[in-house]
Amino acid sequence: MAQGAVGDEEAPVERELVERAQRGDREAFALMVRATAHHLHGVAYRILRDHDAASDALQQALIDAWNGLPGLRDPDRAEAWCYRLLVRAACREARRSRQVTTVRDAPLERDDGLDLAATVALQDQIERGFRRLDPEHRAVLVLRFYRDLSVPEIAEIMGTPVGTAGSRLHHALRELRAAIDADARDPVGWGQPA
Amino acid sequence: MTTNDRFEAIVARWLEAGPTAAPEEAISAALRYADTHPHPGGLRAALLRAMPASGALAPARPAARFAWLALVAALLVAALAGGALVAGLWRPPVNPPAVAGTIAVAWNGDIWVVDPETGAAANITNTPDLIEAGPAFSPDGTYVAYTAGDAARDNQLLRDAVILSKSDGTDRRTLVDDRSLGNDPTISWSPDGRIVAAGGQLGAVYWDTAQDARLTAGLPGAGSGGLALSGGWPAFSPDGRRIAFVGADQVVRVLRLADGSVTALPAPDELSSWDALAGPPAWTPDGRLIIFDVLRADLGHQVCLADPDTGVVRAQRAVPFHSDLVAAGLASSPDGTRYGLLTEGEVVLVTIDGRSERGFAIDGPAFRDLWTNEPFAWSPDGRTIATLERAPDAPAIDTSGDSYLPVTVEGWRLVLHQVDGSGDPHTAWNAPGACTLSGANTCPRPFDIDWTPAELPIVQPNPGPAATPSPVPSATPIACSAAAEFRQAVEALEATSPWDRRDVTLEQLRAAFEQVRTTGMSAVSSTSGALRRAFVDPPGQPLPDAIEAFGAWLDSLGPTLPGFGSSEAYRFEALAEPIAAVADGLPAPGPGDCASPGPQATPQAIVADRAGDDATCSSISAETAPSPSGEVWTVSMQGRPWVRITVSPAVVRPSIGSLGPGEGDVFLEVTVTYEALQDGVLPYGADHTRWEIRSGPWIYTEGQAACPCLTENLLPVGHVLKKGEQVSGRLAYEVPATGAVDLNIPAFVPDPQPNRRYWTLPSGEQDPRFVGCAVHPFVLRAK
Repeated sequence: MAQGAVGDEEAPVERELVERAQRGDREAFALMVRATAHHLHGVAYRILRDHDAASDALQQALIDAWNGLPGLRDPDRAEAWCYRLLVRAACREARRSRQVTTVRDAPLERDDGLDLAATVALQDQIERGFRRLDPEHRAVLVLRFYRDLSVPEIAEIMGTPVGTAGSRLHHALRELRAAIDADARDPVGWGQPA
Repeated sequence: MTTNDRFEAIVARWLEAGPTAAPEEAISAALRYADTHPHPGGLRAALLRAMPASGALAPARPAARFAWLALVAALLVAALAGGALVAGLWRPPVNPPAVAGTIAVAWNGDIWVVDPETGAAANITNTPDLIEAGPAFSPDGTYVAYTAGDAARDNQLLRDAVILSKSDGTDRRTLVDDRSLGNDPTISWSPDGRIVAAGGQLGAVYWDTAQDARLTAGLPGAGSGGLALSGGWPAFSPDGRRIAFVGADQVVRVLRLADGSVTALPAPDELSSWDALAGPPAWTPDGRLIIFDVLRADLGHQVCLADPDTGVVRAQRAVPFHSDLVAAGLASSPDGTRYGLLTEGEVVLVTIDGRSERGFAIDGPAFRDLWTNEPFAWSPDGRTIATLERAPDAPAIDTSGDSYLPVTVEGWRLVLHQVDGSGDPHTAWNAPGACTLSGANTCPRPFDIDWTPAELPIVQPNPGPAATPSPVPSATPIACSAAAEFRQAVEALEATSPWDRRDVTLEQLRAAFEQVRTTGMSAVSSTSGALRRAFVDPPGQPLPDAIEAFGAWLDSLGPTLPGFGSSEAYRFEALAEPIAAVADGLPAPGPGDCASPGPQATPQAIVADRAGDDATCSSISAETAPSPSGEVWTVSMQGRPWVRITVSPAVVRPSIGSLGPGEGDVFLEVTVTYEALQDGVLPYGADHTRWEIRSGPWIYTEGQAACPCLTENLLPVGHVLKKGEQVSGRLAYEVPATGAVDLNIPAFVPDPQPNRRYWTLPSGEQDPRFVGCAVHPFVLRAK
């Protein structure tokens, strides 16, 4: 399963830091931001597939975090709360009418013997299929397979019952797969049923 | 590695590509914001955390006008007493909530009036036997009208009675007690306060309070005009000259009272009526626009703005159907510049021109299950929105577990949100008591809210005589021709429908089925993909029970078996049979009725044969022997005889509502009788007494230990069986043409003791001694 490792090893935001930020300590808030921003941005980008939109979502989520810190009831859950703010900001960002530019990152490094053409074709199919998903469905996929979170953790971030999160994850996968299948007469890659 | 695992791995690998660092400019911008926008301060947050549950200060509020200042003062006093005051951090919100007027709330089946300034509240109905909802103040606030239904009825949407009382609850009288209203009726007053219009999904009634008489002539829903003019959810225009309503054909129309002309406002994109179900219309205060929600088969919820004069309808916003978001509570602000829209966990405010929108979160995940037509209300000055929410620290409602254990839902409160986003949400009233989610049963659903500018005294009235709605008519059997038509409609839609698989919540499912009962439309739900199965009510049971059972089944499968928690819902044209004929369900055909050759296609012949294998559990032994009354299983556990189970021969009948792809689906009926051979209690966690039908393609069971089973519990968990006691139940379901039928044998705990939890070990795990297992009375085979 993919890990959400981005940059440095992720460390939980300390409670003391959050409590200081809740009391209005700007330096503590800055430390909080520095500790989480890269991970938040990584999630935002993968939901939105656009660097600028991801930056906007990150910025909005951090601002929301600053404004909402006094009302945060459980400082131990600050990180999940930040992800919730981020996902919400990303979903709103996705609903804006902006033209999303296609960004092509470094191609996948294949170690399974598939040829490059197939790899690129698969990337394109996934990219197109992913963009067809609703923002909420994109978010659950990213949280599950990029951040490697469990369904209950996703539910906490998404603010939904666990069953709803599971349902969304299932639908997201199914829709992604259906979109890819619909996009290609010969879908690439994941082989025959086991 | 399975196919799904492989696909997930590819998706995960694809997601790895991307930036690993956030852009510094975004971080800097946020930190600059923090520099220039100090948040209201940690002192207040600390005080709030240290305070007891919200509402503790409510009795101390002095004069209502200064309630907010009193709250601030109380906070400061508390801070000083604790020596925690830090100068310069505390700042009260710039704009305290607008709290003028009086709010009516439907809570837990009663109507409450609340003074949003003081938090004073009175239950003006207090009728345990009725579910009251949809309160609407008269324009001057003197009266309040609402709808009521029998609390014992399992469909809380059907509220037949329209009740009018003074706003303090006195002088209550039932205006109308008419089942023709249909689902989820709402109330609309004419602007002059003379006419009360009430209507649900099916029709409407009008009451002239001046003449104290029901109006019938020239009004939609008054009994003429057919489905198109059935007049659901009527709403008077602000000038009182027009009425917007929803026909049973799902088209919003506007009736001009002066000349009787009608303007249709069809859903955009030329959707056929049954592909687009319209919700209650709401007028903007200037009367220039009508806002309504359309539930589209292909898209989800879509907010539409319509010009009542030209009939031009503009779709403005879509809320995906299958993302569990709910579009509800469309209501224009008093100044007509924007409208509110409730989605899951959020109220979104959208400008009429659709160019900007803003939302604020609400604490209420259960809104997904408890949504209503009027879940929030604007204050008369448009500065505030009132919602009914759960307390932030209330335990999460997790209905994904065992559906037999009730979940108490409490901590609801009336919350005021400032529309301009300033200030924090303000709890105006803490709703007393709790409601209980038990299995598929929900709390009394209606949480409707209305807000009048009138300053009304809050007085707890003496309980008056209950207004009793008419009894529910008994079920009317339908003719075989209607059943055949039903089936043909299903099959026709099945062949042409572009609908794809989607989530259907229990509430949506129930609502869909209610349309079978009330409008002549039909709704069928099947699990997605694996089991394309029609669901019709088991014979002998009223339809809502079947809905509950099916919904609970879906609920129980969803969290554990992805793919089985989703389903399809279909809606159909009205049947040719009179509506009344299908209003009370679709009973299964009886012998000599639809089972006989006739217009209905002859089903594939199915027999239920003995499977021939016995239980294989280590803790339970079961022996079987034939008898004249059926097959008898004698079950022992740990050498002690426990229960004798008699399974009658299976009766196989053709189904009337099959959606299956020509599989010859059938009704299978069997009677199961349990006789206790000694005292014992059914432990939770064991495979207690249930009936499972294991069906054909288990395409989603890969790697799953559980099976996609249709289950029916005859005995509740914790039920103590006394030696010699017999429990009998008839089980009847539409089943696939092939598959095995399992009968789960309950384990038992001997010598039950009171007040002991039998379902788990102290570690929380199941006690392996008390795990039941299944026997297999029959398999289904095609002849």
